[in-house]
Amino acid sequence: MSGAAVAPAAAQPAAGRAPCELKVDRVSRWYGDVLALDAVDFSFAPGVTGLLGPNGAGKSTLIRLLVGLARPGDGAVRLDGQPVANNLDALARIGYVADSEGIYEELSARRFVADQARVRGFAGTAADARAEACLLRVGLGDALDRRCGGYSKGMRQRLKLAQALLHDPDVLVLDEPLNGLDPVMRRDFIRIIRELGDAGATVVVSSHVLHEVEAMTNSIVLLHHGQVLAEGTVAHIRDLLDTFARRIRVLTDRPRDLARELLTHEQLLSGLQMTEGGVILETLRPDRACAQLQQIAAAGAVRVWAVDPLDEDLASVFAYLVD
Amino acid sequence: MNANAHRRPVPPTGWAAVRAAATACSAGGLRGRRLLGLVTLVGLPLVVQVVLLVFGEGRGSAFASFAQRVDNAYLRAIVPLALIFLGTAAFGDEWEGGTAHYLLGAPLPRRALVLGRFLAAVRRALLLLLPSLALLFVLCVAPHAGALAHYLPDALIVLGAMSLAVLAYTAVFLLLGLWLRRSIMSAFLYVLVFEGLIGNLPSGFSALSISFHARNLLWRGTDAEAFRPVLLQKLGLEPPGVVASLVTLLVFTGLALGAAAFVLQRKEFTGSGQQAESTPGA
Repeated sequence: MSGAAVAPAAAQPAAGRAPCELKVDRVSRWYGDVLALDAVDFSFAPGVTGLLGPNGAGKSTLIRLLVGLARPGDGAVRLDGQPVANNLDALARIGYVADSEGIYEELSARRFVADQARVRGFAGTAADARAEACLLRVGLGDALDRRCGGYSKGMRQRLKLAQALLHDPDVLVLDEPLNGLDPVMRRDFIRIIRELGDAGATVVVSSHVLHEVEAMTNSIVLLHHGQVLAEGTVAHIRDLLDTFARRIRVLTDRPRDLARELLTHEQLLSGLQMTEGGVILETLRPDRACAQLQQIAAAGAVRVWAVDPLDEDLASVFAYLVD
Repeated sequence: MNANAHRRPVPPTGWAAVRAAATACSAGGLRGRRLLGLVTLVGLPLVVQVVLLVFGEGRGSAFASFAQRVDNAYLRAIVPLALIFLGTAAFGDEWEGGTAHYLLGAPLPRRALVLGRFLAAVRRALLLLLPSLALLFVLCVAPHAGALAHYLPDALIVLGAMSLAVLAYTAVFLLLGLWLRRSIMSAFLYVLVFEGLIGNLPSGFSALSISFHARNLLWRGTDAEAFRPVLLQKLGLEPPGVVASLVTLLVFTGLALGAAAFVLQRKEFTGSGQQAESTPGA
């Protein structure tokens, strides 16, 4: 799987923005004797990619390498072929929303973002105008002149996003961007992130909340113990899991009769569990199992009301891979 | 290769980068409790002088009393203490506050970041110290008729020499703040042990002391007794000349800034509230 580019569902770059390639080229990184990343090798293509993994998987280390805040021990992170570390041209194309809550408490949002705009090359009133536009875009129009120190966690997240959007980055890296946001803000954030991806930016979103990532993208990279466990779409990764039995819940009026019928096709089953109003079967051949269920239902022996795959979601995929 | 670049402004370079680094995100440096503490520190000699004037004990010696207070209060204590906080905070605050990624992720050369932060810290220090020194000069000298105008050139020399000391101390403490985890403690040790003890020994060590050269400039420039390197002269040693002390302070400043740029070039941000790693790899 290593080395292949992630191909997000919404990866088509919009007109006017050339697609860029953010490549993690056999990157390893140690902290003392601890190996945080172990020869990680893959590419982020334009669009939104979710970076997933449990605590200690190496997500934060990888993100700091992606945005040039840290350097690889071995290998390189490259943006369109150029190393990111100590490369001002690359840094000028990258936006970063840090997980850290650190913010310049004494400054107003307007001043903070305008300062960042000047660092990014906006001059004079253009910096102020750009700062205001970005703050309005993230919904901080009512609090432009308030001290950042008085901001709630959700407002800080929006502020961090505003400063990351200032220079219309080709690459936007967001570390746990939905932390501390209320549902409405989450919806807005997800919309903005998807818009950026649709517009052709390469957006990397780190999160440990799987359904949040699913709301933003179908394209994921799973990290575990400093290695890429899997990459691609959720469905693609699920297809790779042929060695794992899939669970299917079948709702029926006669669970015992259905179980008896299913047990006559023992070769399809890895397990069977009776539940309230149905059964949960485990199978290595979900397609054949579903076909068999159709036959049972067609024969009229039992009424089948619903057939639900239970582990097609990202959480289940991740649990399978990690376990 | 980068079609989006036409919409994106070019990040500043050269002096514009230094200015951007100096102004960006640094407004927190002189506010809150730290500002109160520093204002109290630099204002203390003024309060003492006002009290002395009220009780009629501060009028006897014109410029000599000013020089004595500059030496005892400012050069030995207030300037190094104030600059411990201002210098180490130039970068140290970024790591403590978890905001270093804004600096290190900025598309600005690291040496521009160092120079910008240095100039910002120097500006703050001078805004804090020079008005205080000027006011003290007025309080000490004004009671003597015609003395203000007479001693004005000497006062300007004092302000100039103290500004040079500010440059050197700021650069050294900025380096410590960037380099060491316990930078304030290290800076205190430097001031107490090296500047306060070893730097005052009549030996070659004194040539490595910022306060020694600042005091030497003050003495050479004003001939005030308070600044005379008495111990050195008793031992028959000739204090360095104006140019030597001037160059030494500037070299101190330059070396410390160069070292700071080297350290920052290798610096990494490893997370909120953490000092950075300097050497990747096993």
